[in-house]
Amino acid sequence: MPAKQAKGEYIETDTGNKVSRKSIIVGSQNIILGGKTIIQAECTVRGDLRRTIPSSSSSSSNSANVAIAIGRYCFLSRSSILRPPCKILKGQFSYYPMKIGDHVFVGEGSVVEAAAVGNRVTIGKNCVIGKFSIIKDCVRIEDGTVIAPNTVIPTFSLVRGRPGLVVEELAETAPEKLDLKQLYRMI
Amino acid sequence: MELDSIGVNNTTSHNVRYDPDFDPSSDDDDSPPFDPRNPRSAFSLFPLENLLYCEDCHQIRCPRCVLEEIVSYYCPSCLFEVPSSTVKTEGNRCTRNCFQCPICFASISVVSNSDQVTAPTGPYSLTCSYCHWSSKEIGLEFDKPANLTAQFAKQLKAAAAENPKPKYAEFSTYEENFARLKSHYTSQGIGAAGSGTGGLGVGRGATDDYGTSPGTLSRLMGLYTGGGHVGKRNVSGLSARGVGRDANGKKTELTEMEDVEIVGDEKDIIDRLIQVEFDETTTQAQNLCQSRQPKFKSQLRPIATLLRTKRSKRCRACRHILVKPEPKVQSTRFRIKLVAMNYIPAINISRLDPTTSYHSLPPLSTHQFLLTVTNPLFDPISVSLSTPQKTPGKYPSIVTILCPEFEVGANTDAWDEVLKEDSSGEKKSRRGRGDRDRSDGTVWDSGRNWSTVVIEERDEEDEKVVQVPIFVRIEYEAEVGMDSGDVGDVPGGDGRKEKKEHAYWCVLYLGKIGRMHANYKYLLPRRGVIHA
Ligand SMILES: [Zn+2]
Ligand SMILES: [Zn+2]
Ligand SMILES: [Zn+2]
Ligand SMILES: [Zn+2]
Repeated sequence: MPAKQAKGEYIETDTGNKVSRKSIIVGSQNIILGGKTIIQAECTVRGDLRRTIPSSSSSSSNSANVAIAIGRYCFLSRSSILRPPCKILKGQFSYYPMKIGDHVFVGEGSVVEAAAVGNRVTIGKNCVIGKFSIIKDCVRIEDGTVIAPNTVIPTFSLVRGRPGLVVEELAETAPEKLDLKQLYRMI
Repeated sequence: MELDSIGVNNTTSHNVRYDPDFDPSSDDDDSPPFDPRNPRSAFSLFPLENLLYCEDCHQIRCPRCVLEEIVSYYCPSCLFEVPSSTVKTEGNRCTRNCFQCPICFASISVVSNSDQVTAPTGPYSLTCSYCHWSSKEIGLEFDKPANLTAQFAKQLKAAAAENPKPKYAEFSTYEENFARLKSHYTSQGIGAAGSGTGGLGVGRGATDDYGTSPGTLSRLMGLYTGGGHVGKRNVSGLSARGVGRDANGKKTELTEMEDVEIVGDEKDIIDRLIQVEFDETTTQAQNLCQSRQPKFKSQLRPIATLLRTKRSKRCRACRHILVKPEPKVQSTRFRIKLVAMNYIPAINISRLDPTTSYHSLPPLSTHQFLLTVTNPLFDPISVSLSTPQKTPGKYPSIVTILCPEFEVGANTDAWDEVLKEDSSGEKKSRRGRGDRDRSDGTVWDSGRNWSTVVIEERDEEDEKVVQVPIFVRIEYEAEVGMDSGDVGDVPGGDGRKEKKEHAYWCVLYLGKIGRMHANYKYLLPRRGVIHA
């Protein structure tokens, strides 16, 4: 069990997010936190890497500015990095927004460049979640996994290896097992 | 602090495994304790989250005692549902644009090979963004970035037409190969069943999904067990040895071998093996994923993505449905989900002394652990735990549960817990902190629906994983006709109570004695791979 953090280590927001003072949050105006999300020390969240070419879908200018949207009850462990994915499309370089669902755990030292991570996804330590990959709901990614760019991982998958492949199907109880409410209460 | 131990990675739940197939009625005190070291045990122990529960049989059901039925097929890459009729005609692989890298198995995507940056044009190829393999390497390029499977099949057909010699037949299509095999078997008198080939299929088996009938099957088996010509084998994987069942002997065999011969003679392969670098040959994993088991990397083709399924599960004994998923591909909801977690208590192990490491417990000493039983039922339960005094095996540990019989409170409304937590700010335990004693026969700690007891283990030998079999018996009184596991359990039955009981073996992995690498959990038995 983690030791109770020293008082003042986290800045708590109105919606119950706890962000470590030692984390590196860049471009916070482009980051949305859903509430009750924990960001530990030395995490890097790159909200500054915003889309530079206009979106084809005519969405409101407000949501167009969002670089990273994170849901509720997420947990970004120490030294993990969230960086929106980038590519050159029709000769134009741009970053693209990253969306992270609820109950997403990112392990220590992992780098996430996915386009979308669903609800109840647990990513182990030292993983790389490649550019534009899409991780669906109820997925467990084991420590040290490297998911290749553009990969789609369907629901109820256990992913392992380099490159990360689906090695097993998760049991029906996965939604309960991947719930992070308890974890939030412990911090 | 390592976050692992919070339970995010479920280290603890994997340390306790249950044997659901134990029959409590056959239990008598003479029966030997469950031996986790028995080779059979690896197949009968499951973590609690993998077990289901049949309300009609009042039994835990493991993956081995359920029947599965496919609800829907889908491609794990493009997430499109595939109707079962399409699966029957087109096969169990994605027919859109989904392929896997033949070298590293990552999913590969289509990229433009043109120099035109602003408006990409053809040709396109499939490229692996993990290992950078490209279909260009095997001369496979596409005109359009869509409908790849059809374009691929067309190119294969063209290649096969150009070089009709069997040597190049490795570039033929699955359908052609199937047609070839079909005609071979038809000539053998084992016609494809279901199409009414004379007199072969007797009974309903003749028209089943797989086109087999008892008649065809037995003839096929006869084919494969009849002859003994093991030596001659062709690369197609179809052995011609069985043909020897024909009393005509060798002559028939040779002519028929020519009919089904697909890849050229072995001398070519050997000559080429001498010339190429080791790196240009395929690994076994690469080889097995291809239809022709090619020896060289240059012969590997992109692998069309295998479909996955959603399945419902039935009790093997009474056929009642235990799990029924929502058929929609991306849904994680279930219409029916009877999981054992809601019926039988969870057992968790933690260290009494948090400074010790599970991976290197000091040898030749006594270790104490906390065993917590959490009750999912809406009725209080009495638990009795028994364990053999010495764990099975050559180097036994002496195990003592300090309080083997105790009560666990009911799993009352979750709101109660929330309210309690708000007032105390801490998971409510009945015992005050600090006044715990370790005397025998008392519960170490308890809360609303959980109780913790101390379990002691003393080892007599170095370097081993400590596995303790525990026989768990729980008893409770529930209202007649009500199963506590139902979420929609409403008061207002006729109030009569009946006594219920569950008994089963489970195995605790307490840790590893002596020094070893930290990944001991990967040495523990795992369940096999499930795939469509
Ligand atoms: Zn079973
Ligand atoms: Zn597909
Ligand atoms: Zn590859
Ligand atoms: Zn049943």
